Amino acid sequence: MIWQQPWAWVGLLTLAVPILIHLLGRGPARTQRFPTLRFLERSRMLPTRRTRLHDMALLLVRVATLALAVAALAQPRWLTAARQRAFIASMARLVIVDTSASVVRAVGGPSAFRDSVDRTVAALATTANGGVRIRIETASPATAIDGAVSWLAGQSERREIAIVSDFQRTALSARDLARIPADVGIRLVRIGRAHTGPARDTAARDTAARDTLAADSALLVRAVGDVTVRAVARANGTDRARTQVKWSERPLGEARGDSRVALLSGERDRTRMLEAIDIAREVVPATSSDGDSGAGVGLSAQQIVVIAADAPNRAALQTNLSLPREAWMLQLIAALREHAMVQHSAGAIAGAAVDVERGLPIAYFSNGVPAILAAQDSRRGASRLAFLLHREVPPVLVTALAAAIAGYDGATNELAEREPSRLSDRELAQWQRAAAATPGRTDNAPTGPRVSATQGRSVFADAMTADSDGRWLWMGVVLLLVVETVLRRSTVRA
Amino acid sequence: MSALSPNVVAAIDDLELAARLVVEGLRTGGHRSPFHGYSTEFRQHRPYRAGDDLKYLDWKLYARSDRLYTRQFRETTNLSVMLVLDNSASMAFPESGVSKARYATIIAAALAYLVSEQGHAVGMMTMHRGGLWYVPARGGRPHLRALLARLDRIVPDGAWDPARTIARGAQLLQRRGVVIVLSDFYDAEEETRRELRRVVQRGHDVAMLQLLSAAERTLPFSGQVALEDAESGVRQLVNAGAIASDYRDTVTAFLERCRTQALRDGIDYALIPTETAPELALRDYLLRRGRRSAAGYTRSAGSATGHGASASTDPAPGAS
Repeated sequence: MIWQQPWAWVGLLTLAVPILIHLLGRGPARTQRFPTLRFLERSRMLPTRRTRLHDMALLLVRVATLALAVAALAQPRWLTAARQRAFIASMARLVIVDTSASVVRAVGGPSAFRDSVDRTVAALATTANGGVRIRIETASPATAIDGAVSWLAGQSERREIAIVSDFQRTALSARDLARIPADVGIRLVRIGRAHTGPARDTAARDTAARDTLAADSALLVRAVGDVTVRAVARANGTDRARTQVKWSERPLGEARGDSRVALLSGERDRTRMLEAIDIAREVVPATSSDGDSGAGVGLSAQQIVVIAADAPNRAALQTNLSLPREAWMLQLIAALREHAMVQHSAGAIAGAAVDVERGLPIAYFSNGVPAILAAQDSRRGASRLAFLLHREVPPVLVTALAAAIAGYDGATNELAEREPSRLSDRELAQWQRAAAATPGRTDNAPTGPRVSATQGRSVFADAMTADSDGRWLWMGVVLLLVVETVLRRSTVRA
Repeated sequence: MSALSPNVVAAIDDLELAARLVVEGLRTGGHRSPFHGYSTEFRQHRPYRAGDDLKYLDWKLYARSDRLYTRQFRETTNLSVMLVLDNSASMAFPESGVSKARYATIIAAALAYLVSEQGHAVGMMTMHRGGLWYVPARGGRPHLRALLARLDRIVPDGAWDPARTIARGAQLLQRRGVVIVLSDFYDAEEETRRELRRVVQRGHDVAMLQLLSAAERTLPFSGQVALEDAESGVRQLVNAGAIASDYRDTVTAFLERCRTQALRDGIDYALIPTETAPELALRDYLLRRGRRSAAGYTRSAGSATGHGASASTDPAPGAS
């Protein structure tokens, strides 16, 4: 039985009223003519009435009436077997879909990913009770758990969170699942299991690169126009796919610098590069924001410097450059190496060979000459990532580079995404649990993440919101009132 | 035929009709009839003289002695029954339903009807507003009707003096008779007992019919009740539920005392609950009295019919 308004039990204090009345009250001292008083003993008169309850039957009926009324006000809801079955049959399910790069790559690219996710969610809706109410797509499932729990708290049925992911270790942990109340079921559905190797599957990589290129190019076209540019996707040093991309020469405007990226350039390239960066600002609006927007790495203007070919002190700068060593630099470099627009912009033309410079190649011209090198600038204790541009780098590559840097949020562990270490099926099985069907109990959560009982609301929230069965108690109250009336009148008549 | 409830009988305005219904109920009941008729008693033979009624000749004696003798009978004169009614205010209880006074009136009327029907004399004595109110014991239909009319006018009121009323009622009997007292016997218990004993000593057959309602025996009230004495008007506030048990014990002791003292004094005693059907209560009483009379008063038994002139002992009304 569930009490929807348990505070009403405070009303039991009113039981003291009839008890006090029957204990202390004089009662209805009616007058009754009687043949003789000779059999009455004076010693049994008034002194007895102040310490004894009188009219016990009447008192009991009155107390029962009040108690029943209080119980009715508390709005009981009897949990019959039929109601429990109906409760178990209903389910409020929320699905969190992991859209991180590793998942997309694991299932074979965005198209396959979308198809796989749709099929998985549809299967969940048809095979499990209750279907799917809400679907959250996020690259970080762990961050979506709080919102999911918040939404589920408002649902009256049994509740369950399903997470669709490849379950690499950095995506989800027991600590994340511990934030889910104990009465909420957890269902973990793995996708992309077929792709077990590292991200060196060339066919899948090419497909992913092509899809990414198409998406990025479309973004660029929306910003600059419809001039066709030929781009090439590179994989493992060879051209594996080519895509026609629309490109444009943007009309010149006022050149502005990127707050994230410091530009070192001579007069010859300055205008050109500023224009390119300005275009990047429109492609990726975040470019104009300060470096704090990067959640994980936290890029700032002091951290990244782009050194043009005609930079006056380029040669001097190179003496202080070394290979990048810091993690965030390596992650950014890895991201740029995977950035389709950067790669295709560089691979569209050939570049003249130059002297070997110190740094990690970011992109290559079509003839294999490095177009951009990355190096670490450690002057005066600073730790900056420097991008050295080839003198023949086209503006579109500068634009792509600026856009890639601006779009890099650093939130995801890029390296981990590239070489994912996935959770085992055994661990997932331990974390899974069924939604609780009865109050204060979890059906299958002995080994899974635990939360205190106060964190979750009653699993019988439907009983809390459904119509109460208090009407039956009110009928009892009416019946008792009738009995009380009969008793009172019979007492007076007697 | 089922017994008439007290409510039904009490609702009959015509007291004679009510008395007849009660008496008829006695006769048609499934129990042994308590009636055996009245009798005269053979006294002596005397020699036949011319003019004597031949039906009184003793033909058997003539056959044996060849002489004519006429049988002489001692006439058993009419039995005199005096009904003494308690007319005090306590008899007005209970106020709803059949009061003890009405019940006593019906019982008295039925007894009067029964006694008169058997040819005996019946009278009534009560006290009304301090004065004695009586009807002398006589026989005959007109007297019965006058007696019933007087009974019908009795309204319980005030207090009564039981000793004085009983004594006066016994005095009204010309010879030894039956004095039947219908009362709750609450008042002047000792004086009443003394007077009854005195009446017995004078040779009268005395019967105590004690009428009590159920409420008097059990005190069925609850809670705080201000009990008002019906006769004195004194009020007493009691917790009825708390004292009910003791009250019942006290009443039981009182009734037992009445019964044992009556037996000790040779007084016929019967407790009549007013919720009992009048004919059943009356039949039980008469049967019990008849059995006792058969055991202890055989000298008064007689079954002959005829006429005589001498006095006789007093059989119980309606009992042989």
